[in-house]
Amino acid sequence: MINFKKSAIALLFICHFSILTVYLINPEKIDVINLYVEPIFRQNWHMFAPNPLTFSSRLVVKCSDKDGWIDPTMGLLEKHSRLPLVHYQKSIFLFNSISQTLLDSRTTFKNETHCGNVSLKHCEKSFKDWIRPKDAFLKATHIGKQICGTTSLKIHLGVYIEHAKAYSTSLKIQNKGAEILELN
Amino acid sequence: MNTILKFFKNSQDDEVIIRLFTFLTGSWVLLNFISQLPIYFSLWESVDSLILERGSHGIQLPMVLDILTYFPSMTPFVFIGTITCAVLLIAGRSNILIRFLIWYFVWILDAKAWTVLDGGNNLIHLTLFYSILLDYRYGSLEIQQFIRKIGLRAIQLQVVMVYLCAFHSKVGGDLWINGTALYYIAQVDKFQSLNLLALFKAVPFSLPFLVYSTMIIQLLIATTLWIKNFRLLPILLGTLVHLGIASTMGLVSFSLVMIVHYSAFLGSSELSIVKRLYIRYARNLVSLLFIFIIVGFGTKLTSAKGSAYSHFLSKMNVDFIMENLNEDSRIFIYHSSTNESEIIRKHSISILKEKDLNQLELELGSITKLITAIEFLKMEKKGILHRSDLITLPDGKTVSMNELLFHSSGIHDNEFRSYLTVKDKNFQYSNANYSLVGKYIKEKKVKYQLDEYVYYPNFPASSALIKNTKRPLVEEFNKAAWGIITSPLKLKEILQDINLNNIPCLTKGKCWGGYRSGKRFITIGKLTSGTTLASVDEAGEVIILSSNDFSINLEKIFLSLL
Repeated sequence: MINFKKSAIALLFICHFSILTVYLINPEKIDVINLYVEPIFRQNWHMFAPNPLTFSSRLVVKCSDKDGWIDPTMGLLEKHSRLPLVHYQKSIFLFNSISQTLLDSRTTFKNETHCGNVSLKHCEKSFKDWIRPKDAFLKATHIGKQICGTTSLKIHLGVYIEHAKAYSTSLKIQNKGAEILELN
Repeated sequence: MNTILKFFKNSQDDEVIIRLFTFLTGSWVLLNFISQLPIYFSLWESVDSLILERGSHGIQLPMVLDILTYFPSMTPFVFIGTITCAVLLIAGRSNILIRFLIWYFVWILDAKAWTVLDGGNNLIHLTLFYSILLDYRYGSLEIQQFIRKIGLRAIQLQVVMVYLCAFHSKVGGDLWINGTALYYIAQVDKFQSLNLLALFKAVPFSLPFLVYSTMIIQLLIATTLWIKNFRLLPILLGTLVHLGIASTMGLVSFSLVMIVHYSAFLGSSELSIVKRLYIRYARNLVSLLFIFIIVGFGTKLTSAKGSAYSHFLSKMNVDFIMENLNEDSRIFIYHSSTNESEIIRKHSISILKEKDLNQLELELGSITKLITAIEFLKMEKKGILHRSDLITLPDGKTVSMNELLFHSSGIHDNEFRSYLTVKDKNFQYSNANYSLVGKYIKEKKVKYQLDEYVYYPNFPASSALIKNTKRPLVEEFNKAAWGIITSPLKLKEILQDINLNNIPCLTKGKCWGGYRSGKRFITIGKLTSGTTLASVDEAGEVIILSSNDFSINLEKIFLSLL
């Protein structure tokens, strides 16, 4: 009886990990498997693969009463390398994923909806099903308010994008492409 | 079936491993959430923070399970609950309920904090779930042990899957196959804790070596962790790789998760090695002290200014920067040999055009300190002022102009309300020093060129840079330390007949200052301050005016530009 129980449990174990394996190696996700995996066992191990990111993006803020773009992550990286075990890296991640999400949703909108050239703000309504972009946008606005204070009439949000240089054997650097995408 | 059951056969080390693994995961969860406390409000309680709904990208919680969707005000309690559970795990007081709760709490908290998650969080969600089984204590002893072993095996298998998948997907990427992937990763700014690009430049072989060894080690870990008497090698290699990732890319919490999970693989032979090492070394107070001294000395050695290591790094960086400037560069970036030079990264370089300079008001920030110093020297030449001049502070103590110029008066900026207390006379950079110099010049009624074209900007109090405007006494004269120059052309007049090498504080690298506005950063002299370096790191344009020991005469270049 005990052996029967054990065998049943072991079988469940094997089934579980077989499903996970199918989930992980199959690029086209299967609905039934998703239904089982996604809620609790959702995972993604494509760390920097198949190809790593070839650009960095940062959230930048411009206040109407000040010149220039302000980068809220200024100094965080250096602080992180000094005190790696506190929250600095998570703060970098915070700003980074906000900018990344805004950037992603922007390009998606460009492709899929009428929101392509309209500012993100005007598109806010169609964000209904886009919880993360909306959350990211609200968080970014909040950060903007914190930076500019109440004196600014208008707060501009932007994503600073920096494209990585392509590798060449001489490692001679071309001018790196960098741009600021204004979001509103 | 029997062979399969053999895989789940109970072994005598299991309880020790489970205890160790529990201790380490508990510690990680505790560290992770405690370290996120300073940004608690942006993650969980921000007014703008939304509760994730089903159907969003990323973590998908079935709505019924996520109590924070319905009761957002529960967040602090869930947070405290997580911490409590983690402490219980560390203390070894866990049971199946505690294990379930910690998994559940971490899971719902992370669903809200989606902005800061990485692969490490993903793995911990899964293994915390599997580790619920590690405290299964129902039914016969045999079944109990069997199910606990199932939990342990699930954790192990999950870790192996991570490495297999990571390896598998890397094999599918061109950049990994041709050995250049790390070149691109090193350019993503959130992963830059060390200038890997400069290393790749100095030692070209290091790039493919690091790329391929990453892949090989991942495969090796996934395949050999199961082999008894051999797994110490993949465990050590993996730990080394993750420590490397933590130090070069700054992914500390992720690396710790991976290292924590190796503990699930320790067998009796590895445990006995750990035990032997512990008995031989760690128990002995003298050898422990010895290790501390060695580590401390090593750290000191590598961080000491002027050490061979830092010199190598800075040489590498300067070469790297100089080589990568555009042909039409008008201003050169120079960095003198300090060990912080590694902080200058390639993306900080761009060129300020001549017309920009003439059109814009140039925010000089602390560069103004240098101009104040230059002005002072000019007046000294004329015999109006002297560096030996003393001023008396309201608290009766006296400081010399020289001390103020050298930032060696002991006046501390941060304690400005009591700035009159003269502390030790070591180097202590502060705005107050130069404000007092400005005040002195003004009191002497000497014609002070700075007055004509430098103004002290009236920034809103929210600006983090100018929080110090609350300092009442010297605010008026602060422009000697910090200001905006309305006409950069005037700067030319000041700099014209002066040799920067003769500026006392500059030659010793002690009147540095820098200022950053938007993407532009200006500094002068040596870069020695952490904040300055951080600004340089983040800036888009950097102008560094410097004068010492470098073959290119930078001030001439600068003057020709002006």
